[in-house]
Amino acid sequence: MAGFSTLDQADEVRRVLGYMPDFFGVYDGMRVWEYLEFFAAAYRIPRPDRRRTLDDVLELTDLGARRETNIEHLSKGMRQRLCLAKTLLHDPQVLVLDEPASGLDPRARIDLKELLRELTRMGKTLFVSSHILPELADFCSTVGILEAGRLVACGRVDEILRAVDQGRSMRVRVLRDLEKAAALVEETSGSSRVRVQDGVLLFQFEGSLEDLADLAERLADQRLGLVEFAEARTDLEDVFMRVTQGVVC
Amino acid sequence: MRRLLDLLLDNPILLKELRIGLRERKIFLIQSLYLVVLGSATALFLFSASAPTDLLELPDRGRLLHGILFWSQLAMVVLITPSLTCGQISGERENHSLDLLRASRLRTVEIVLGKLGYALAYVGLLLASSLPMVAVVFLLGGVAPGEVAASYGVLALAATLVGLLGLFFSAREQKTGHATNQAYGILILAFILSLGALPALAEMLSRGQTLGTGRYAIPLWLYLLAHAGGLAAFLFLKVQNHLRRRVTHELWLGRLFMVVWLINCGLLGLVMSTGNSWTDPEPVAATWCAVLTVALASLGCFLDPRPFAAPREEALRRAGLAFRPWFWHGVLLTGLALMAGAQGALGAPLGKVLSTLGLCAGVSLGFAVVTRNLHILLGGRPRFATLYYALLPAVLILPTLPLASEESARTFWLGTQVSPLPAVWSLWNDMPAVLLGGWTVDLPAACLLSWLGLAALLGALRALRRTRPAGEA
Repeated sequence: MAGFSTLDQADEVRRVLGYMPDFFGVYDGMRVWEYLEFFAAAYRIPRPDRRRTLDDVLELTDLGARRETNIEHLSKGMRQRLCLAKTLLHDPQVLVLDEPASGLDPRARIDLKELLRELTRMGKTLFVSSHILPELADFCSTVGILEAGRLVACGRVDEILRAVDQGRSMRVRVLRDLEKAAALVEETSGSSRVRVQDGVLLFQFEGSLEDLADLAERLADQRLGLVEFAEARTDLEDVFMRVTQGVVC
Repeated sequence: MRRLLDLLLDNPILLKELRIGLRERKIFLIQSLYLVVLGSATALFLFSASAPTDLLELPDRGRLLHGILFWSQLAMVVLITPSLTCGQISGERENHSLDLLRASRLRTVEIVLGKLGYALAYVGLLLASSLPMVAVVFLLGGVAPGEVAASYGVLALAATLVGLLGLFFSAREQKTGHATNQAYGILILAFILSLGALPALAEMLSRGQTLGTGRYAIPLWLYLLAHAGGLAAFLFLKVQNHLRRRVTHELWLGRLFMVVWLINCGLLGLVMSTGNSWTDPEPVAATWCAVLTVALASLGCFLDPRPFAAPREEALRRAGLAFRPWFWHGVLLTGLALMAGAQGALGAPLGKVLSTLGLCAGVSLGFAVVTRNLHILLGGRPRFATLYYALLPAVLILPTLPLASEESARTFWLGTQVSPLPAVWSLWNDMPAVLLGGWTVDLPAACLLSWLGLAALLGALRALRRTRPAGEA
């Protein structure tokens, strides 16, 4: 991890790693700054630098106004932010966040998402595990899908989908004679899984971009009122459902 | 030295525990209760006693008051300290905060020292607050300041030991309730078992009993202190091992027991070197008993089979010589053989030395097989190791209690069936046989046979279970 061996250089790995678990406990009876100061000491941040570091993470997580608040008086969302602040104290290069948005209200989720985007802009590597897949798609550059302890897919979302479907998912909308358009697509070589859903023609296409352009021109020549010819946007849930087989272990 | 001071004084865990702990209401209540009990004992003593007729009575009264205050403080410290440590690590686990600590750069030794330091700091506060009441003793006289300081030293040592015991169970168990039950269970058992021995031990300590004579005499208190230190180090390493399963901790544990073992061997050598021990067989028998006790306790060291978290650590453990039970049996038996050789060379009767050696070896091997098989038959649960440490004093000490009172042949014989100590004792006291129901029974042989028989029985039970078809399990 970050160039260190997880087997032989455990301390170096801990220095570059920030970990935020799914369930975590905070210590009741402590104030926000006391909690952060404890972890600052636990991460060996020199005593003279601690105050500045605390101010930085409190500002980043928008908890500056809660500095003196007792932890037991914080809401779930604020505790989540406090845990993230704790995770950021030692300025780790790699962050492992386990379900960071679970149990948060919609506003807190949006705030958290914004914060995670900010962290990626700062050049940090984030590993986020989550079951709320559509939200991840907004800021994840790469996804890995695990099933029964095995990594079944890893890469960019569109790459994974292309690998699974062997082609592109296409979406066509015409104003007139949808059946004729469907027949035309079906007889084109390289297309498969042609279906009509909510007045939209969906199909998979395995040919080159030139072939795809040919198909679009032929559809336009038929004067069917072609208003949309685009690659269908696939979300992470679709990818997940196609890649996994529902294995329970 | 500076690193050690940093571990104690610049310890984030200690600071955190002090911050949280000293804000709790229960801390104030415990301290109030502590002082109320001590104050009541002092007031009752001072106001209930009749006016002294002679000034020479005052030192006796001073000693009595000091005794009352010491024993009541010891009882309270032993009861209070585990309550402070039992929830320290299991509480972090229940609170889901232990993983955060383990992911930080804190070392396990810092976590354990911080947790223990908090409990000891609080007990230190209790002891310091009791000083004004103990100072009343000086008004009466009869007790030297050095004795008062020594009694506080004993209290601090007791707090450290029971604190570590609580921490050990807290690290071992998932839930604080289980840890508390087990720690107090062991303490109650130890209290019951040592009821007979405690007054005698206190009396021996007060009159400056030594082990051996002449220039090599070792004070009993030093011997007990060394063993208490060994026990504390054992518990300290075990706590660390439960927190972060590392082969290094287990290796240190093994080295520690090697040291304890060598100390005991050296002690026997010193006793023998005085030259006059053979006229009185009791010191020799007592030392053999001590050696056997250490041997059995050492075997228990590697009985906890809780698997290591990382496969790499588990592989290292399996590959290491120090983690093979036969290696430890070999070390223990070699030690016994060396001592037997030394005894023979110094003029002890050969027959007695050989029979004692055989008895010790047979019993320790029998005990190891019995515990191992019991362990497997009970399902190999980690809690079994706790059972081992609870049973060990019961097996070793309980049957010797009849020796202290009445040497009734029946109870003595029954005692030898369970404990090897009366058997060793009888061997060196020329009473190897008793008449039981018309039969003459050789005590050491009966002891050895009963252990080997039990080992064989459990081995057969285990073999039966192994051959039973899976469907019947």
